[in-house]
Amino acid sequence: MSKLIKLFLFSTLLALASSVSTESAKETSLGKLTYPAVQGKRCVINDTMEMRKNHMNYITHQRAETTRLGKRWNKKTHKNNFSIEKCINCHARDEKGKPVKLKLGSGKLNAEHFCQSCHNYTAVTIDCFSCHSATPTGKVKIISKSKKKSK
Amino acid sequence: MKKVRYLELEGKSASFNFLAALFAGMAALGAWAFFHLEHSGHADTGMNNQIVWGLPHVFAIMLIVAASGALNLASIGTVFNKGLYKPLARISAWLSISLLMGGVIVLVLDLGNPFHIDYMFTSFNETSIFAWNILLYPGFFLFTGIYLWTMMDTSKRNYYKSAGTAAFIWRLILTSGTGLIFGLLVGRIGFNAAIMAPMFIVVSFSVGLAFFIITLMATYKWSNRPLGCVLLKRLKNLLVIFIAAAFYFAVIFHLTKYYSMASQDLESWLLFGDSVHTKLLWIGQVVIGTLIPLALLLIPRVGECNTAIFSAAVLVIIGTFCQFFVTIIGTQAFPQQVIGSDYQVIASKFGDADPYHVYSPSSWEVMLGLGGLGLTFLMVLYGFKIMRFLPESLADKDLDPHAKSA
Amino acid sequence: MSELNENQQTTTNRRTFLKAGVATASMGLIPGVNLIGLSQAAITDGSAASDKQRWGMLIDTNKCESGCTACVDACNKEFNIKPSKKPSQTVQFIRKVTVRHKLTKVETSLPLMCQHCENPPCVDVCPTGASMKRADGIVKVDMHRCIGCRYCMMACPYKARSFIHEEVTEQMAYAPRGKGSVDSCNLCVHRIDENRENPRNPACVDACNSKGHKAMIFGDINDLKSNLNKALKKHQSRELRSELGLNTGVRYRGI
Repeated sequence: MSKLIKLFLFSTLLALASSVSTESAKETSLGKLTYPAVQGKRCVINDTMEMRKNHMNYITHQRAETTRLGKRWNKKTHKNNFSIEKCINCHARDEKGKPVKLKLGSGKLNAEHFCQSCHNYTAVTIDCFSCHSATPTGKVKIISKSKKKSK
Repeated sequence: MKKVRYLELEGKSASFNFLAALFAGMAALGAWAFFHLEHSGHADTGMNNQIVWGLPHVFAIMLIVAASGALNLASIGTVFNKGLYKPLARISAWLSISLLMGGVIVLVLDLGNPFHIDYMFTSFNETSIFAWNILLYPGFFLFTGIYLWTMMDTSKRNYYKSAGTAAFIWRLILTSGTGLIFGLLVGRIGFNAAIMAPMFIVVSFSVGLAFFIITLMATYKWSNRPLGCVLLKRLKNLLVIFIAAAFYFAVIFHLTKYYSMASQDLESWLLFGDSVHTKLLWIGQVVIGTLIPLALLLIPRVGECNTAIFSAAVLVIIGTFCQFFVTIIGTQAFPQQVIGSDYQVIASKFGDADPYHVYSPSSWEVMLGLGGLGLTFLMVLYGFKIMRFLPESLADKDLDPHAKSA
Repeated sequence: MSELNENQQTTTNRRTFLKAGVATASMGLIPGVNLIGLSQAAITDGSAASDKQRWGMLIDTNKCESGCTACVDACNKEFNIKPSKKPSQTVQFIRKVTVRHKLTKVETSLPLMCQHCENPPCVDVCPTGASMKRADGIVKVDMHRCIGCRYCMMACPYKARSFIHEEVTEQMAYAPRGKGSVDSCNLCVHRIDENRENPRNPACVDACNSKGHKAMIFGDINDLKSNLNKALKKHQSRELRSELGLNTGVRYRGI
């Protein structure tokens, strides 16, 4: 277990280092990003930067197979399950576990939403959520952890 | 053979600026409508789950059909060796490119998800005539563009005839494809007919020529260039034949549809009902689009070589618009046979039992359609200004003498 | 641990959503907690839909009660379809129609939805392949590819499809749908994919059964043991617009 924690810390450091090294100006802006720092068991790729950069490729690849061929995965049989429903279920929550809505009452997009916060920053418009639900609907089990403290 | 000199429009006159502003304004309206509908969705249009294709499609289909027809004048000169028409070939080719651009833009901007359009090319469905049409449009731009190039670049003169022939064949395929968008709708009794393909081709002859005549006469009038009566009379005679042929196809189409019990309900409603479509068919297509133009062109004295021809061409365009309105929207407006011919639907929450579905277009749809028209003529106008498309003179004495007897 | 009762999971409706919200909100009071997802959308093993199966339905119009709209209501609830501002733009997957036989004048009430043709015209005409038929016979729309041209709606003999004219909010997580695309009945594919050996009925069939009418039988046509297969063999049924030769997966009895 301690080995895992070490690995986690190492990868976090690595991720931090690589983001710092890209551009210092961006780093200050990145600091303003408002998505909640939800951490738990990794469900898919154990590499934050890889997911930040390439999440769309992972999602896109499986979406065609699911929609057109009817392939659906679960964790037991398939380690990496890139269902957008599952992404949302964990990520689109605040630190207390409350669902974060993508659209505010005024119709504006919520910059606090996990996806939108980054997409605001990168100025990339996505249309995933014109069809997909952006709010967590599934149940989550909240497990007590204190990784943040250990950081 | 006397050499034809081509000259750009000067493009500084008040009338040029007025027209440019007018067309640009129309195109801007279209753009506004597009951005509005992109934001709000099609909820702000009059289109619904019964009338799924509305006014934008009428505009788009008419412009696309007119585009291939406008190329006819060039084809007659190049493919069929009628020397008289050769000086018109550049105008004809450029007008057809502009018309197609206007039509395709309207078609694309009306899509629900226009930004998904890349899938048209990455996941092509070969059983879809609509997908084939999406290939036919760029093909038309390409072939007509090359054709225009061989006209204007004397070093490419060797390819002139073959380029013209290729463009001619392509335009026939293109318009067949447009007609088959409707002709291949097997589930819709009102559309499903092989005659759609040739009918669209013949309609393209008449409406394309009408667009050509208007463009030609207006341009030569406003730029004070001579336009001879011999040429106009030839165009007039052509227009007469095309109007009559288009009418003939329409008669056969409605007659056969009326004859079949499967589609008689629909046809008798279209032909003798009380909806706007019946009025558009009889007053718009038959009277305004066929009878009056024929009278204007055929009655001696009236059919002299100026106002009458121009008016007839305008009326033909209005009539063709009505024809497409009735063909596209009118056919959708009559409730579809959904069960089988042995059953009649008498109640439904989805309008299956309505006498007919009402379509009331919103101003956004009108704007989108006008935008396509505006873009077309903006392209025509600036094409004439930038490129040497227009013969300096089309006076009788300057035209190919051999052609007169041809 | 991460396994969850799939029924509980996939029937997430507003009520369970609220419950979950309350639960998570109250749990949120505990400091220093973290989340892991327990949502399992489907219990299949990553296998593709198979052409050995063909999903279909037999609708007995004798049992279908005139004026009853349980199937329609259930469908609207399952996909969270709400009426549009303009009624003619409201999305419909399934509708009730009353028909009269031209010869006998007998009136019959029946539900009408996507007939899941073997040779669907909507799939033939779609320029991008967004309108698609899955290997197991389900005809549906792949909205990732749909450009919103509505040509499939022009082609459908049954008017089974609807265009989504306005923005959709509060979609069901299992049934994504949104503005600018065409949408239609997909036989509740999300239910079928939970367990293709013994799937739950589509929402409309469930509703009809719980009303006690039992006018709709759903199942795998190719499965000799299925109720649907047996019923189709036992009773004479017809496909709608049979002259088109589409070989529909939804069949009707009693008309």
